[in-house]
Amino acid sequence: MIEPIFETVSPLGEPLTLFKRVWQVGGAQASPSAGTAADARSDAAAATATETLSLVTGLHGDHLTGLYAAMRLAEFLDTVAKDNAEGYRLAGTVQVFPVVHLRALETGAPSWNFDSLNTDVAFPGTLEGELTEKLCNTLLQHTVRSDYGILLAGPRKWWRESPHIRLTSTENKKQKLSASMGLPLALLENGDPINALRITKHWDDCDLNNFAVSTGNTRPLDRAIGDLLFDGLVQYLLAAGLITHAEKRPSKNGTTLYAAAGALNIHCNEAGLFLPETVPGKTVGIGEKLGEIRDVYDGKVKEEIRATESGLVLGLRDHPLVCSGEAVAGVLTKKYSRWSRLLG
Amino acid sequence: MNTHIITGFDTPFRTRVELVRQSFAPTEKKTGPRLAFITGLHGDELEGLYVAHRLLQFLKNLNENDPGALLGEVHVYPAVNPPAINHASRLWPGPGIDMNRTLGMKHPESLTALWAQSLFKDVVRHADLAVDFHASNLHLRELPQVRVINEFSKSVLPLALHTNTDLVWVHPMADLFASTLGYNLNKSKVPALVIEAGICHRLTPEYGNQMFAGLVHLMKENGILAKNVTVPGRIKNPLEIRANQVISVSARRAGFFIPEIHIGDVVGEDRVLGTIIDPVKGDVLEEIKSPGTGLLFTLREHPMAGAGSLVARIALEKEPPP
Repeated sequence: MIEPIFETVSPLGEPLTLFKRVWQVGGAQASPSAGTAADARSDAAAATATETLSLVTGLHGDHLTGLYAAMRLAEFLDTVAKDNAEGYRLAGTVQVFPVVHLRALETGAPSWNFDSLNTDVAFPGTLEGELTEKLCNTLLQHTVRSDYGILLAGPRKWWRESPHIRLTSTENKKQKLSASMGLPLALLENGDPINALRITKHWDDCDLNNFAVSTGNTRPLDRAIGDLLFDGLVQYLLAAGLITHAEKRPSKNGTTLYAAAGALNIHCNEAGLFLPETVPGKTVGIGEKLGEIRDVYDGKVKEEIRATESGLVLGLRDHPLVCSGEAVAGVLTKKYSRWSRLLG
Repeated sequence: MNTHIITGFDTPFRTRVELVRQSFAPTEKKTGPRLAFITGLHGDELEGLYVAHRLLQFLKNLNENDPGALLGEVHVYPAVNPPAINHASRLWPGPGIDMNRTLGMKHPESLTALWAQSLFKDVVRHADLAVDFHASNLHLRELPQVRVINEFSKSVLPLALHTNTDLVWVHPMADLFASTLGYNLNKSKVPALVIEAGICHRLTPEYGNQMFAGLVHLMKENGILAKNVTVPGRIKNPLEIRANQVISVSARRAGFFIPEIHIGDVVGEDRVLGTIIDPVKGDVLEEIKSPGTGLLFTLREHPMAGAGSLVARIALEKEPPP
């Protein structure tokens, strides 16, 4: 079922509608109704026996890999709901929000030029307000009663990253379920104040078992990564018990958790054209060359960028024009341990 | 005037971008309080740059003609986000980062965040009080006002009342403030006045002149300028309002907003503030009326409005009964 969740008109009178897809065990098409964050807690006791996942993507207009993965999941769940998906059965409710900021998606830009608001950090939004604020608030209302939440988001702008899980905390169940996605890397986010404006923080406040996935490539669509994420989402649904299969069990994956606070950002001292010589996901040794900065006028090498510590390359600057002092590589140097917080 | 380069970077095009502070110190060894005036955090908010210009002109003139009148230090940061200003963009171009959402980070990564941190540290080192000057966004025009977060009102409110704004709005804390310069300065015990005036992409000399006079008055009242310095203009008594004195008026229908009043008007209840029209069909969709009596201090300037878009804010003179 495709269900409208938000309807308005543009100043020219054209309709503008936001939809979600819903699949529910038994084929019933009702979905968790919208409610405030406060309602979500008080209604928890009255929750139905089946659990609900909210999968969100399309907060920004320039990354469509998450949208592609969500689209593939919708296709898969349609076949599951018709009982012809090779033995898979729905055991819970899945709601997919493939498009949030449709104005940004129309332009292919990260945000809408009318307000320049970064949708990723515009939560909880407002019931009354400009479009972006209302879209964020609508999305939140429709997801806070879920049991699980996944946000598929692009990497930071102008960066290419290894696809990875982003966790806000290290609860065991959260870690285990996120690992079922099959991505080798997970990052524990730090407590920067801006993170309080992300949907994942609001999901945390409403006790959703949730995480975000950075889809990695700066290209608008990376089908290989999208396919990987789709496979991961099916594994996740199995692990969460939202779909079942007579024979298939969720695969056991090893996801290594790193703390974002312990990541090493390598900055360039010179401005110019950054040409990387490594790739995200590669393990590099101390002193290993990661790339070089060349002068745009004569091509001369102005600086060699080298790893100052050994570790795993999480991301690299993808847009090559860099100013002096900009970060050009991110290297994960220390795996997370519960002691690292205490010992700094 | 001493020009200080706080930080800078080279671009790939062999140009250099610098964060500049213009400083004025008294001739006497023992100095009074130190004021920082910061503007241009958002590169499309240009109103403050005019105020900085007037302030610098005034201080240079004072330095030449009456240097003894400067009792404290004044540090002017006239354009703190040059990359964004060069593009008349709210955001730092390229990565598209809002510089005024990067403070308070433990491990800043981006050049924008590192730049903002350099600015923050420099202000903390050089100022006892700060003014962080903003214009409004693309949609709304604001009457000059100081915005004060409740938790800082004890230290900030007495200063705010000397700034010659039309009002001082004391409001509750919200998560989005935690990463702003104003909030972090206040947290660091540098009382910071966050001023909003006018609208982005434009200059309103009338507001700029009013705020310049306010800054001179503020400096006199705080012992940074001698009492004999003349304030260039009339000083207002700002209306001090709490959050429950602010009525936000929104459009119920989407269309084009045509105002029928002016910002700064005192409007009565049911006064027509404007209409929402349908430019395609030629219909008037909605007449928007004032829900109360008070000072109209925010007015929509961008005509395109969606259902729920803010079109006006009215400050009630008294707090409504609970």
